[in-house]
Amino acid sequence: MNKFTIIALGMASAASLTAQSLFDLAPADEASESIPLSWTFSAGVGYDDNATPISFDQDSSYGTASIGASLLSVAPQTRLEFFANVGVIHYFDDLDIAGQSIDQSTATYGFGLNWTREISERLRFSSRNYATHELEPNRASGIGGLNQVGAYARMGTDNSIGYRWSERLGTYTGISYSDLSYDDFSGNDVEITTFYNDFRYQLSPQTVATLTYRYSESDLSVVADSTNQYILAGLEHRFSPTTIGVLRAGAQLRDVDGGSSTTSPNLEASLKTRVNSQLSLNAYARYTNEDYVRRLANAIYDDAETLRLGVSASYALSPRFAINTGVNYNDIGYDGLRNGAGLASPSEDIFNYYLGFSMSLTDTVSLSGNWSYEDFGSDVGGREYDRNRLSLGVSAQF
Amino acid sequence: MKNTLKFALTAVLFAAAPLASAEALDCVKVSSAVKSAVSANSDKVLEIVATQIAANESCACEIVKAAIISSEADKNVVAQIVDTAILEVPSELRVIAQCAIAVAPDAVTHIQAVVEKYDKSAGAGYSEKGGLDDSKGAVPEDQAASPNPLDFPGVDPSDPIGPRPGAPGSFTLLPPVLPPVLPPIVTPPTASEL
Repeated sequence: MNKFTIIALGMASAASLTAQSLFDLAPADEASESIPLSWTFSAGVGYDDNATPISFDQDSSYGTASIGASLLSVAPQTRLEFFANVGVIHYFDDLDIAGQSIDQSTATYGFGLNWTREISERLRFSSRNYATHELEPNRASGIGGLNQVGAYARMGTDNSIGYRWSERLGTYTGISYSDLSYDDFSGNDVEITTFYNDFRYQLSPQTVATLTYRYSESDLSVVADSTNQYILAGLEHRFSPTTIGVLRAGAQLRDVDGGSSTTSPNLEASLKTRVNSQLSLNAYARYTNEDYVRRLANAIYDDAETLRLGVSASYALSPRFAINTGVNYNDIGYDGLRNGAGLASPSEDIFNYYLGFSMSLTDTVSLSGNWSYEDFGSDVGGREYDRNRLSLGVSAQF
Repeated sequence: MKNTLKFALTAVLFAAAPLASAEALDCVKVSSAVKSAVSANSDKVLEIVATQIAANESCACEIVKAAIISSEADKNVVAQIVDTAILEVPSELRVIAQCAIAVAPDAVTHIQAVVEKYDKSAGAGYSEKGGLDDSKGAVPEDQAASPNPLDFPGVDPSDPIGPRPGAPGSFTLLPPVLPPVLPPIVTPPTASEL
C-alpha cells in the first residue's frame, strides 16, 4: 500500500465519521481497525459576495471556529462510531434586510452515534443517530429546499434488525425518524417517520438484488401532512475491487391529507470508484416527491418532485496535497397548487460548483481552501441569485 | 385510508413470507454448535475448531468465525484458530483467512503471518489483495465462502473501496451529517417567505 492509498484511506475514514450524504447510498469506505478518541480544532476565514441572497445583495467576510471529537471502535461483533463538534460562524460586517439588522453570529453543533452489533451469522442490529444545528445544508445532503431560511436544527435516528433467512436471502427491517426545524421560521418544519423492510437476495458474490418497501408519514407545520409508500427494486454491485454501485428504482405512492393522491417514479443511485491511487470519483442521483418545501412565495403545493444530482472528484497530487472538486444540481418541480395566488407548476433549480484543496502541513496540522459558486433560478420573479464564497481554514487533529 | 391499510397489509405479508419459507442452514447449525461449545469451554477452542472442521469441511468459514467471536479471541488466539483450521483443511486456506479477517480485522497482521507461513511452505504466491495468486493453485471458485446477503457485496476484506465484509450494506439512506466547517449563509425569516 503506497502513501497515496494510505492518505486516501485516512481521508475516507475521517469522512465516514462526519460527512454522510447522498454519495453514501453506496456505502462509504470503512476503517477496519479502531481509531482512538481524537480531537480536532478548526478555524477559518472566508468571503461571501452575497451573504443575504434573494434580492438583498450584501457582501461580507466571516470567520469560523470549531472543536470536535471522534472515536471508532471495531470489535469482532460490535462496531461503534461517535463524533461531536461545536462551533461558531460569525460575519464581520453588519448585515441587514430593509434596514433591519440580523444576527451576525450563529452557533453550530453536531453529534453522531452509529452502532452495529452482529449477534450471529444470522442476526444483527444497527442504530444510526445524529443531531446538528447549522446554517446551510451541504447540497449533497439531500435535505431541505433550494431557498434559504436561516439557521436550523435537525436530528434523526434509524434503527434496524438484519436477519439472514437462508443462504442467499436476508432482510433489514427498521424504523427511522427525522426532524427538521428552523430557528426563526416554522413554515418549513417537517417530521418524517418511516417504517421499512428491505429484502436482499445474493445473486452472486459481487451482486445483491434488493426489494424495498417503505411506509412514511410526513408531519408538516403549515402545509398538509402526507403519507408516502415506496416500492423499489434495486441492485448493489461490486464492479471491481475499486468500484461499487447502488441502484434502486420503482414507484412512490403519495397521499396528501385533503389533497391529491399520486403515483410517481422514484429513483436513487450512487457510484463510487477509485480510478487509481490518486484519483477517486463519486456520483449520486435521486428523484423523489419530497416534503421539505411545498410552500413557494404565497402559494402552497401538494407535490414537489425533486431531482438531485451530484459528482465529485478527489485527486492527490502528492502524498500531502489533494484537490477536490464537484458539482451538485437540484431541481424542484412544484405541482398540485392547493391555495394562494401562485403559478400552476413553477420550478426552481440550483447549480453548485466547488473547487478546493487540502494540504498536510505536518502530521497533525492541515490547511484547506475552497471556492464555491451557486446559481439559483426560479420561475417566480425576484428569487434568482448567484453567489461566490471563498474560504481558507486550518485544522489540527490530536 | 383504505388504500393505506391495503398497502400496509401487503407489506406485512411480504415481510412474513420469508418466515414461512426459511430453510435450515447446515453451516448455521454447525456455527451455533461451535458457539455453544466454545462458550461452555473456551479453553478448548482449538480442539473444538479442529474437530468441527474435520467433520464439516465445507463449513470452515462459519466455524472459524463462530470460534473467534464466541471465544472473544485476542490477536494471538485468532492466529492459533486460523492455524488450526488451515491444518485441518489446507485447501480452504484463503477462505479461512478471509473469514477470520472479516470478524477480527484488528488481527489482520497475525492472520497474514499464518497464511504466509503456509504460502512459503507450499511455494505459492500471495497477492496484494490478501489471497493466493490465482495462477498458483488458488482455491476453486465453488469453494469460496458464501457471502452474507446482509453485507454489501464483495468477499475480499482488502477491497479498497466500500465497507468491509461483515458491515451493513446500504440498507437505507444514511443520515446526512455535515462536515463541521461549511461556508455559512445568512437570510432572515422574512426573506424565506418571499
